[in-house]
Amino acid sequence: MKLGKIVRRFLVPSFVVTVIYAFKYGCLISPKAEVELSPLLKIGKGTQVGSFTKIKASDGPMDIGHSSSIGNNCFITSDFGGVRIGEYAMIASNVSIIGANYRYDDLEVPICQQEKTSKGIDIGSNVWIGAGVVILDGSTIGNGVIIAPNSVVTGNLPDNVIAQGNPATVVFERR
Amino acid sequence: MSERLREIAAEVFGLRAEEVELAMTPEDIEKWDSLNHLRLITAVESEFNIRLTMSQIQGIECLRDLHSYVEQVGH
Repeated sequence: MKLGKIVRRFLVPSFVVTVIYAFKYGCLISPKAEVELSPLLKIGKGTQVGSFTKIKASDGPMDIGHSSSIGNNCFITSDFGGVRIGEYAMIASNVSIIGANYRYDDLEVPICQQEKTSKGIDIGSNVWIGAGVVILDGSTIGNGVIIAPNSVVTGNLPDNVIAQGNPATVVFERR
Repeated sequence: MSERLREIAAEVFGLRAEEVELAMTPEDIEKWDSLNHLRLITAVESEFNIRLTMSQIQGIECLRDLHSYVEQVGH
């Protein structure tokens, strides 16, 4: 791990991160959240991040739009494919957004030592993501989408639908 | 049509068709929650090739209401 990353991740107290992001972007990060100080992370004005949420953006870009809210105890990580979350997104507690995968095609090599892949995750604006939802790498979620709690998103969801399940499928088109 | 509607409702709510009556409300069917309500609407719209408005969907209090809308919109 690079020295700069170590310093940013372990030596900068959370309340300092809260103050820095408040001045830099005008967003409201709980002092109890663990948001990485990273030049790859952009958070829009007025966006709130709840307690015990962890946001890692040291390996790839992450762009969170303005006026969004991220609940408590979420885990959001980006890799080289990036993670984008639009404006006015409502993300409930315990949501995981994982922007990377491991290859597993070599039986002789431990999975953790195999190459990482990252297609990226694109979440539209005005979405409502229920508690406990898991969004995996390569997913695209359209604008105005609602995802029921504990669903697992692995693919594409078009604009203005309500989705549920593992894998999440469309149950209703909003109108 | 009412027979097909009962079959669709039975499928959505995990019941047998003969257990479903048009007078049934969400209080009579344990699995009739908000999400299954939307599943039911989607299934009925697809089957009868209709599209209900949001106010119609929210106004449905029993299967008979849905049946009435299908008759109205479908004809």
